[in-house]
Amino acid sequence: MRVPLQWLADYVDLDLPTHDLATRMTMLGLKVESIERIGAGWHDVIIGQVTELEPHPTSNKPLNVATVDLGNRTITVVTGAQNVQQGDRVPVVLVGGLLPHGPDGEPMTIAAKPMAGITSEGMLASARELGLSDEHSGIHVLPPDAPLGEGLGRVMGGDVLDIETNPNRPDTLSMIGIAREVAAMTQQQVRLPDLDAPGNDIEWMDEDSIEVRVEAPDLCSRYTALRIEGIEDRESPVWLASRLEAAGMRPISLLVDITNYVMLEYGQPMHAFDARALEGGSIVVRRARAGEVMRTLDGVERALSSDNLVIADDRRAVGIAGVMGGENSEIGPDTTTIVLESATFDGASVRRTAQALSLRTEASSRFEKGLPPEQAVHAARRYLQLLARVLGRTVRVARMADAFVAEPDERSVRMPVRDLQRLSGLPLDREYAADALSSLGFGVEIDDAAVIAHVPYWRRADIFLSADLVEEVVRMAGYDTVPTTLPRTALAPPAPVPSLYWSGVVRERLLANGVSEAVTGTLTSEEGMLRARLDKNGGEPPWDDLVPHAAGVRARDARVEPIRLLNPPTQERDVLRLTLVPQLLDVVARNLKHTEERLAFFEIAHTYFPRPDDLPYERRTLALALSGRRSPRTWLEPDPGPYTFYDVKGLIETLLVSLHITEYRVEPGRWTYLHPGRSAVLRIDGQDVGVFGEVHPRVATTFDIDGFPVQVAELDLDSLFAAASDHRTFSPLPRYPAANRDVAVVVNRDLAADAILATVKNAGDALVESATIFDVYTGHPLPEDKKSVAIEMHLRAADATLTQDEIAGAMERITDALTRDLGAALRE
Amino acid sequence: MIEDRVDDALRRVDHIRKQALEAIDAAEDTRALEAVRVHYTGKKSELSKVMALMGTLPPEARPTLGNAVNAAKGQVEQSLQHRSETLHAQELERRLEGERLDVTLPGTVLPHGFEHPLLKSVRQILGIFGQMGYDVREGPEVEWDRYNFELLNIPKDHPARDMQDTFYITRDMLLRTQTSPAQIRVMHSQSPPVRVVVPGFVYRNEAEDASHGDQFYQIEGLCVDTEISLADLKGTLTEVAHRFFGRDRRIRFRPSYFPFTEPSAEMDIECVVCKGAGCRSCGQEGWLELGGSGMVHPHVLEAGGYDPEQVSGFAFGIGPDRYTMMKYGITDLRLFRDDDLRFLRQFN
Repeated sequence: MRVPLQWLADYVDLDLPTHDLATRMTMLGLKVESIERIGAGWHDVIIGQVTELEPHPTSNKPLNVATVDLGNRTITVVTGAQNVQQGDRVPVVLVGGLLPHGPDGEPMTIAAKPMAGITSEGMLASARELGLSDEHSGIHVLPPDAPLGEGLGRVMGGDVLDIETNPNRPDTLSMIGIAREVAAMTQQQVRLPDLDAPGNDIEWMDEDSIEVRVEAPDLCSRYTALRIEGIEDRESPVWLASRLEAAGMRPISLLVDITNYVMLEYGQPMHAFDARALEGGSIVVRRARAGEVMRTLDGVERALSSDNLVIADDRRAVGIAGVMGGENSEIGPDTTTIVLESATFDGASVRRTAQALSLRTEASSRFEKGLPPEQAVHAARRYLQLLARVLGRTVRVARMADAFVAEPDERSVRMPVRDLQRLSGLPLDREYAADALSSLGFGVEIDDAAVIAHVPYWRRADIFLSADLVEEVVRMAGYDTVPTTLPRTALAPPAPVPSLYWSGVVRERLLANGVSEAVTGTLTSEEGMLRARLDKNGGEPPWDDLVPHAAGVRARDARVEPIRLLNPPTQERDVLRLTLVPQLLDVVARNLKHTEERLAFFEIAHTYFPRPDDLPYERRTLALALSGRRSPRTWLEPDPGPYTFYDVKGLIETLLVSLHITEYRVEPGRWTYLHPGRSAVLRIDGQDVGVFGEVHPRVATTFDIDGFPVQVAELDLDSLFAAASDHRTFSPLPRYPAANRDVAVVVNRDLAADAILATVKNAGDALVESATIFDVYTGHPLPEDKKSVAIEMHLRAADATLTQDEIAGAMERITDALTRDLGAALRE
Repeated sequence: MIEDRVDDALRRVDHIRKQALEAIDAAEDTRALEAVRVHYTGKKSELSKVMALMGTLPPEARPTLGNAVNAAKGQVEQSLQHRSETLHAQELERRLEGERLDVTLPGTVLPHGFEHPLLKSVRQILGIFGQMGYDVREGPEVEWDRYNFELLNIPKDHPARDMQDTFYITRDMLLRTQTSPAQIRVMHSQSPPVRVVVPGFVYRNEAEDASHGDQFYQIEGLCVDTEISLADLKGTLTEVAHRFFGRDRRIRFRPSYFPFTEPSAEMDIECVVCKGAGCRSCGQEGWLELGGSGMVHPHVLEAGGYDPEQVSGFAFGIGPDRYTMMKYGITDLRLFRDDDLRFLRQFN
């Protein structure tokens, strides 16, 4: 809500400097977003009248030479503007004068300069040059009553506060509403327009304005209509036009401008119909009929439904209630009789209609917050008063039609002093509260322990309960007077949350191992996720390998579809993600564009799986993406190699250690977008809890990643955390020495390392304390299909030092098993 | 003459001793010294040959020669020992001198990941609340309209719904626009007193620019007990802001409106650039909004199953995105979603 202070001063004295006034209003709850000082940058800007206008005699540019009357003298001005006409009153900047907004956006001083031989003694200004608006297509032509020779700042200047209003306070969408607050804040009485002031040239006719039938009483609590005759439409006077402009509305013509003026003044939207357009002599307030169509004032054809309330004559809709009038009843230059509507429509209904039609208007934004029916009549009378005053002649008015369908109940709210004190923490008493409420316009009574407040009609939208009154009293006292204390609540100390605790463990482990934390976004597109697929048109979706089993997400073998938004921000972001990896690959690709150093990212976030008739399952998921060199190039290591499969596997293994998960399996996987030979699945208790591997080079190219392979992983953290444990049990340190033995075997190249180690451990009985592979070799002189594997074993017995015979026996059993079960050949 | 033979032998011993001591002094390195040692103290050394004469002497003369030989041997061995230590020390010194490094060359680069500044702030703020005795809870991001709005005193078609443009999934299901629905879930799950914070992402259908995103973080707080007041709210949030931003930043509270709190308050922090005077970075206001808060609305307490006559409470929503921008002077919110290493590494 833009509040010109020069207008506000009609209703309340403003003795404070603007900045102080703004700060106090903010602290009262009327947040001043900005202060605009119209005319602060004007110097020597005078209102003049163009008395003669001729094309420039010599210039071949479209220049005009204007003779401008400044009241006490006449000057010659050369202008390029084409919208000026003889007789127009215009803002003239004299030579030496100042404008706030020159061509470069900076203030500009006007110099006398010859233009094609004729010296211009000033300049005509556009609205943008004056800093009034962005309009710069022509000169800002003023109303014909703009006072000749007067400084423009005296007529149009002044400070304007832009106030952020709250939806519970429709009254603050009006000058009078703001004035009431300022008056209460500064201990004044608000000055309302005197609607009974004598001297108005209004002639009341002894006849009814029009018949009004409210057929939807649930959606319209009051409808008043006035038929006003003997009038004409014209341009608004400068005082009215400049107030509207300062408040952010464009002047249109007098009959419309007064409705807007009164709307800004009282907060009551109104509408003027051309009486000629209303057929059948009555107004019907009804729901639109199925299939009914009406063209609104903005020229758009609107398809209506029975959810929409319309104003109609006997035959057709002439307006959408509380939103916008119809083109069919628009007033025009030849209008002499209008029917003025001032009504109270149901807020929710107006809101639904405005939303359905995507047509938010100044009117609808007020109605939807709930307006009091009392002000409908005040506003209509104010319209009449202003119209007669501006026209300067008698207007004839028929008796007001007033369909007051539902009179609101008076509301009184009791606020126990105990509520005031316990909610605010301030030791305020009944008397203080009563004074504060009274200054805000509440009728007040006091009993033993409470204040009873009678809610004024303009506060009916937001005062219902004791707590509402507490806020009123405390904001009058000032929130800055409330002390700062800490609750003395006795509660057990906070308990750690397992999921957050384990997330912390995982995060710390990854950060310590050089992986950076990424935050991408929940919203993506199905196509975006499907980029992580080997073939454009085929292959399983990338999320299909890690669908949660336990959570009732889908019936077996049914495909998971992502959750879709009904109103997505863009088509690229219309679903909730089922996998984190594609967006993490984008992070890698983006970073690869400006560096080729080590790229290692993780993200811990939710993936969203639909469940029938329930909120989706939000699974805590971890994704990893590694690419580029596995360490930065340094003088110590000039050419570090790329991240490999075993780096991502190593990270997963270290995570499993930190979670103390020892029972798991890693098996070859077939994740659809991974390298077919470098894809693995992590299983716990037979359930897939993670997939990882090297991204298929064709898929990497789709993501614009070239040059380095990318290793990725996606892990189901909910399942991992369920298996995690902080429990550790001490094992006594060994008392007897271990014997260390190495063995090297040549085996088939596709034999899994797991099988070799398992065979070693089995064959060695309990003596093999540990067995590790420390070398794998392929190539000359081994045959193509063979590899050499070297294993280091620690042999130890818990209760004695092993003898040479015992060690030799164990080694023999191990080598026998390797040769017998795995077809291994011993290497000497 | 026996005496002559003895004297002769003693002179020889003395000569050998002198020769040996000279040779030891002349040895330039441990290797040369080792040769000297073998020559003068070994089995075939001169001294050993003198000892071999012992049998040719009468028994009464033997001790004289024996003592002389032993004394000379002892002196030579001591000198050898001394010279050896000196030479070893010199050699070590020379070797170390040759091992001198350029200490200005960079050290080995250890792996080190970067924490995301937004989540770092979240963890810091949660840490502060933990120190102040708050439990942490989580709530679903995909919520029922009923929890996100209706139970929070925002019925359908309420104009306050415009304060938060909503992403809908179905008519009744949406992406939560605030963490406030967790207030209801907490109250449904426990009786007062309550002191919890609920972190998580929230979503609003707003155009993205430097200071707005359609997905951002929020930390909801709820504190309910028999005597909780606006003063407690002010004290708590001021303490948190002071711990996060520093005690020299001024904080103010002013009346505001949220359907689920009454009275409602907005918390502002003094602009760090202009100290409240008004400048470009705070839009001339001197203050920057930190987040909404207020006393839990009686309808919301009732919706949670609590009796507003018996208990009162405060609730708040903290925006870590904003907190992080203000703390570090970050000017564009979109950097939080780019995961650019050049950005991330600045906060570690």
